[in-house]
Amino acid sequence: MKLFDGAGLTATIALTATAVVSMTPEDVELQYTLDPDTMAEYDFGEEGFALLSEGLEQLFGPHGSPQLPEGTDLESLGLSVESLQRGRISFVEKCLHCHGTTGGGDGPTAIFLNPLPRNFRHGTIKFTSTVRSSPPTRNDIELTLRRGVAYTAMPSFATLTDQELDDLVDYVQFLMMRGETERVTAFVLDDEGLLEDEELDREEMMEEVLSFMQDEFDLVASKWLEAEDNIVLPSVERPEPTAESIARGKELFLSARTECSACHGNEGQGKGPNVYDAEKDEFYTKDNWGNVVAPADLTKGFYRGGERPLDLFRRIHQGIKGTPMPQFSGNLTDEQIWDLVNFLYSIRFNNAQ
Amino acid sequence: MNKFWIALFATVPIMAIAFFLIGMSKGNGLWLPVNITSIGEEIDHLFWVILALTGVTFFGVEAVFIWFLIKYGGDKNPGKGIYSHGNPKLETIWTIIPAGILVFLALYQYDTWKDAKFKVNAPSQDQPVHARVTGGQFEWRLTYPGADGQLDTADDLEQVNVLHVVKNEPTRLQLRSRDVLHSFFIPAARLKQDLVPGMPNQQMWFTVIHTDDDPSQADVHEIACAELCGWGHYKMRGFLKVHETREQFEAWFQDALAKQNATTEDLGLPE
Amino acid sequence: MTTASPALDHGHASPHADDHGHPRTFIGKYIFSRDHKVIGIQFLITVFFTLALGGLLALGVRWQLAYPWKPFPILGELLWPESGGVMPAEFYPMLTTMHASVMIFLVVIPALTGAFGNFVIPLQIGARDMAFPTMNMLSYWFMWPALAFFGMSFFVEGGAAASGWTSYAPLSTVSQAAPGSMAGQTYWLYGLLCVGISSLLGSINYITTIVKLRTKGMKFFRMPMTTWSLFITAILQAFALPVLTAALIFQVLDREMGTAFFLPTDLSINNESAGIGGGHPLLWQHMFWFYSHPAVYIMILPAMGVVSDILCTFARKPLFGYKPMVLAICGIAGLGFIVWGHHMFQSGMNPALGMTFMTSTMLIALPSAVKTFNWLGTLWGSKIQWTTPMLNALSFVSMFVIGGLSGLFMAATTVDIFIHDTYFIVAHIHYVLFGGSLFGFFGGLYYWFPKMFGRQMSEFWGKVHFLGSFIFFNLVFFPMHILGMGGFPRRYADPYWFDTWKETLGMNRMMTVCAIFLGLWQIILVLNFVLSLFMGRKTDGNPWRSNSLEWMTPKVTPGHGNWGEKTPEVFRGPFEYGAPGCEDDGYLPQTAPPVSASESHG
Repeated sequence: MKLFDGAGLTATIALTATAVVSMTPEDVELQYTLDPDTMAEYDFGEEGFALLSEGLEQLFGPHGSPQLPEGTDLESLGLSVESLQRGRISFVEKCLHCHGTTGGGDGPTAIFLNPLPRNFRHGTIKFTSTVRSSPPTRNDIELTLRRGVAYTAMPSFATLTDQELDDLVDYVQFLMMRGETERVTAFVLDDEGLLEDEELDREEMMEEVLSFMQDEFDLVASKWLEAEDNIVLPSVERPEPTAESIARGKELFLSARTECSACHGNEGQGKGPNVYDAEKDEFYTKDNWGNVVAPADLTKGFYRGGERPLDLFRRIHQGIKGTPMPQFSGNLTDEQIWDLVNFLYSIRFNNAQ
Repeated sequence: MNKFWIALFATVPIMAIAFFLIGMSKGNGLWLPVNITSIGEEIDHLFWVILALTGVTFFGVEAVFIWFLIKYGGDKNPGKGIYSHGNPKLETIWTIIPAGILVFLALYQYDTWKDAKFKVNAPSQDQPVHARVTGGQFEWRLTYPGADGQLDTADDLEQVNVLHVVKNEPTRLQLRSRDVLHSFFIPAARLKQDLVPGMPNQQMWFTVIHTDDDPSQADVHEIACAELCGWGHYKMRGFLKVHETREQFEAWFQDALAKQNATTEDLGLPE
Repeated sequence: MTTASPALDHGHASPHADDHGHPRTFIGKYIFSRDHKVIGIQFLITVFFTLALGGLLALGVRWQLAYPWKPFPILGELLWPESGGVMPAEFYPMLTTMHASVMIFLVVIPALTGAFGNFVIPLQIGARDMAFPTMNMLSYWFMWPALAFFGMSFFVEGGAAASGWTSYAPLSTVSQAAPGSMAGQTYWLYGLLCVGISSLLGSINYITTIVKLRTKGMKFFRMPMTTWSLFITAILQAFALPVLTAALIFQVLDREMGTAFFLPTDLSINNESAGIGGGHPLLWQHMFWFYSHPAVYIMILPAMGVVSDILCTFARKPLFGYKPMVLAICGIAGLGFIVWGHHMFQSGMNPALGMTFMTSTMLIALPSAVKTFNWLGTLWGSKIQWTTPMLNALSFVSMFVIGGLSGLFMAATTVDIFIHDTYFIVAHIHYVLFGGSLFGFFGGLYYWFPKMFGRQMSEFWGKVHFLGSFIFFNLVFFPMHILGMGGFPRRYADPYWFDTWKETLGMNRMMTVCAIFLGLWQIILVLNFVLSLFMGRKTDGNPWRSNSLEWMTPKVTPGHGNWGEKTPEVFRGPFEYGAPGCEDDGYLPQTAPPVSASESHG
């Protein structure tokens, strides 16, 4: 019995010692994945998709070491390899569980959220200062990070340090550029039928894919470089929110010219006849990411895209990117947009909680 | 072997002291955080009173416990203990003395509790609240009433997660939740209050009386959520910024308000 | 009322009771048994499984606190391949919720009231079985649906319940408020309802058995402390459970039928309307804590009883202040009903009520203090035998002191403002429930194992198990006090985001490492238990030379009906060690006829 006990004790000590040693956790090893929504539209075959993701990895690096294609002017884009790396680590900790590894808005928590987290792969975010066709500026991303998106699961990250925020902005920008390159390249490859060309061997095909991808990336990058030049600013001062201005705004809001009320409803509560089926209590409209989207309730006391008159002006002027909210810059003058803004502020707290 | 077990039980008070010493020496996160409010001083005082009382009791009980183990646990031969069914006098004594201490403890803190939580004791009740804190999944929305003293009007200042207050001024906050339960917790002020949907006028008040020496910068302390509010509970990090003077606060306020009402980018990003 | 009434003696009054009318099939004897001893052992073995489950969930919590957002070992890759094995944020509250629910409702309560209550009560009072054997069987079998509901909830959409074991509304009642509040919360509620039925069946049984089936001479004040504590526990349960049951059904209705007991008006969560409203979230808290505060005593009182019995046996000495001890239990039970509000000091409840609850809470510390002093008194002048049960009982006393004293900090409303919902309360509850109840359970297990199986567990391995458990337990849970003093909040998946708590990472890692050892160490207990079933030293009926009645059965492991032809007669209290006429080691069983006419106390 003694011998048995002694052997057991030795085994216990040995086991616990092994447990101590084996307990150093590894780092997270993640993989960027292809965009499932986009790829569902194309039929590249297993080989073709492998080429695409290999090409992406060559240009943008694996998850462990994000980079931009060689020869990219990182500085003008406001990026650096070091900050991308730092940003990636922050992103894994703070953003990944909603926005997903590749920024597809498909993290494990995403399915529980309403509205869904942003999918960065289209290269678009909703609330920007730029014209509709342009990517956002770095400031736009930072602003969203700082103030969060009111009344959604996107929290404010204002409590991070400036450095941390800047790194995150870098990484989000990286994911957006990478995602858009991926989508556009897939589109072009499909268009050209390159992947069906049977005369090329794998290596040659890879080269072709890479060159297409590089071209598309250059296009994407040039748009990002120009974003700062595409900022929307009102050409006239905002008029005082006088009763007349508000009345003019109201008239516009209800008019057939803008059709604001057709979506946002006559009371501004976001249940207009064009978008809302009152019988089924459902909205018809979808955004570019394929999700049902409801017009904002303008009477709750908050705006997701920011509180500033400037923010509201831009929302109306350029619409909201990726959503059915259209651009009014061609339809309305800046003065008229300001009248609308003044009207919106006047009904802002009608149904505030 | 007996001595081994006695020694093992004797390590308990030693361990307790050791961990308290580690905590005191490391400070940050392992000991009471800095305190900045007047009510926090009272709470800390009570904490120390209770720590002293429980400490003495703890070491007393442990000492007797270990003394008995040593005295009556050394013998390997089976035997019998003293045949005693207890002592009614002793029972009375050790019922009455702790009872006295406990009732004293309860009475001793009534005043602090009243100061901290009774709405009638809230300061500046004739004036508008300093700000309204709306807890939501997963952020603190802060609304300052602005010049008209009314909330939900056009001159409100809307902020996220960062609460600005003035030193030496009684600060009264209105607390509410827009979805589930939250708890507004300022460790440095020692204060905590649950935000309950359906109870839109919860209040919290405090006066910040301590700040860092450097008057040029606002003092920053953290705010946390202390009531489980869903998957992002830990994300509800906020800041409490303390301004040295009313003027500094006003300057910040006007600047933030201007940024909120911006019609151009000239002022830079809003806070 | 000193003898069992024949009518309630359910047919065992006949001389052939031991061989008559009891099931002979395997299923009847071991599965759907109505024998209190088999049911007790069934509870015991079930608890080993649930303890392992609850422990693993706890290790999941600890992993995240030590290595936040690092791949979860072994299971991670399997569960969350898309994030590289990293636990997603919404899983963390599921872990804390289910850890607490399993540990409280499926480990501590069934271990103490289920396993020991069933096995020990009839033996200690000289009854042939419980008053209602079929109800007793059902009380065990209602544990299984509970376990099934809890287990299944991990696999439904959204995952297991994630609103804390307290399930505060509206996080728990509104399905869009949290992933765990989708289907998982409903499963949790059904599981808890089953646990409630199980407890209620048990408690009615215990009360009836103890009141009606005591053998001749077993006066109330001759019952051992285990039976006393289980008696009071059963009364507590019988009175508190209906309120919880009502609350649980209200919550089920709120979730499934669109009622609004706990839902305020015009509430919108996750950008969806939560429903019609008109109720109040605090109602749930009041109803929940009206049960769950007494439940804390339901979890600790039986352990106190077990420990009192063990201390006396191995101190070879009568219990110091038997009647004050009984009164203390009654006092705790009585006051236990008027202190529930101390969980709600910061809830928005009227602060004036807080003062009332503080006073009553301070008063409930009193009987606990009296008990501690009486245990010390029992050690005074004793002749300590360092057996495994005794070590566990002694550790109960020394850990309960810490758990009790830390409770004062929370009882003080003002200090509670700061430490409410921090790790201070986590430390407190673990010192009471782990250091207290679970060490009491360990002690009772080693103590009654010989009576259950006729063999003894290995003392050597018992002591190794105790040593490791004691050390690692303290290293895991004592630092939580100082974390709590730093304001470290509960249920945070990533507290290191905050500068205030950034530097606690090192301490948390140390605690996690110790927690893993603490978990591994329980393998020793399981191995010791299983191997001793077959290889343990065979014992006579009373290896510890204990005086109380359960050791006096005619067979080493009592058969059906426990007592052979006639239930025994009792002549004195259970702890008369060293009384005049005893043997050299103080042995004087309850059944030994009086040596002199003057021996009439007790």
